[in-house]
Amino acid sequence: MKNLVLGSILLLLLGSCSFTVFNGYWHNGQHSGEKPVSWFRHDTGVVVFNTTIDMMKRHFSGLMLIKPLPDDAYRVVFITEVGLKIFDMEFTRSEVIIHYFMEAMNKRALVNTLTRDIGLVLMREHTQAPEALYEKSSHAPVIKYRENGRRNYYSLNEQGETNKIVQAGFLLNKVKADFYSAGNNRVDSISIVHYHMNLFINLSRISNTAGNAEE
Amino acid sequence: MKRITELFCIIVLLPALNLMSQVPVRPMKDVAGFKTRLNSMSATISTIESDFVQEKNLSVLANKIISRGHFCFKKENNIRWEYMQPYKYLIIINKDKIFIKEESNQKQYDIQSNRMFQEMNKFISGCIQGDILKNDKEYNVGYFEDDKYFFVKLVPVSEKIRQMLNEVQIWFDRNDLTVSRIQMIESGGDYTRIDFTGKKLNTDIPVEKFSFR
Repeated sequence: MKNLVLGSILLLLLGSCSFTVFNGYWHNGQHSGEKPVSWFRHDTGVVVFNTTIDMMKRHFSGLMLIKPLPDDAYRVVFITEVGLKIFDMEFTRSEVIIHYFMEAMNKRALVNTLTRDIGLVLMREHTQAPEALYEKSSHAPVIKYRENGRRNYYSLNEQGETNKIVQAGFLLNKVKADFYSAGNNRVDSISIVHYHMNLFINLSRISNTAGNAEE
Repeated sequence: MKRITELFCIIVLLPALNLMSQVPVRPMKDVAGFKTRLNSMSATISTIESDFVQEKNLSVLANKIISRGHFCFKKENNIRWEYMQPYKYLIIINKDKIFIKEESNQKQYDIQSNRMFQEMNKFISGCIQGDILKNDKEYNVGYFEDDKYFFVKLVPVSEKIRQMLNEVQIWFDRNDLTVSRIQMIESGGDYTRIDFTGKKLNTDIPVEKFSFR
């Protein structure tokens, strides 16, 4: 009886998780050499997104500015609509430099999570060798990288653009980022969802043309 | 009541803005007279309506982030900030409640329940009504003038606040003492500048403008 209860609990827990052991990807044999390319490499100026961050019971909204820099680096600034700066970070190939983080939000766990999420969607180049996979359901090509104990799966569309990234830990999927584009090599919106944490980030592109918000 | 009325005076008549590129550095001769005039002006005003242009200058960007919208104030303590370009965003402060509406999201908060909103409300209404000038415990206030403007500079006393907001500057038109510009300078030199234009005083603004639906 005891084993039955424990087994039921275990099944319930397992059923509520997003597993990576059977993650829906198959190996593709030889790698084609294709690599995911950051959506922001096509932009020459600053890309501005209307952004909401919902975390636990807290809600933040504002503008996220992403500026590509030389050497595969990016500057990312988040300000509220009324102009208050929340954070200012620089993502280089090897590190994240925090130029400013608002005191009220400057908690280590939060900073780490946000830098990891933003770093994921910036898609800086990986130094490790990629593995070629494909999705069982759609047969879409998937590129897999290992990074700091996590695995990143980049799903590519027919144009070779990344439309989804799933980041997984040892057993469980951690984060999913979906990219939506209406074409022209530009991303129009991004949705970031955590599988096991109440954290949602949504970015909707406003503009990167002069006159509104841009460089 | 009197304080609230001052608020109105501050934002009301918005003058030619292109003359404000330089910060007045001449110390104000008659600070007491300025405060008295501000009090009496604010007493005559019940509503203020104005367009605004907000300019965010970040050192990381070569150009500024510019947003535009419409501002309304109605006694007592009803404020409506409506951003229209390049995004839609609405903030309504209705006494002790604050409402925020984005394109796909709307929320209501009790100002008292959130320290950040308390400070935000105090700051916004303080700038509009001029109460902020009386807050010499939290700000060191400097008074200056030139031929066109009275200029007030507020430096937060608290080191903690200064890490976020280094200085607040308010330009008052010399003729009518209405606020022409508010500029908030952050510790790193980035700043937010709000210019008020096309203002209307004492118009009939419906109460519904300050309710959230």
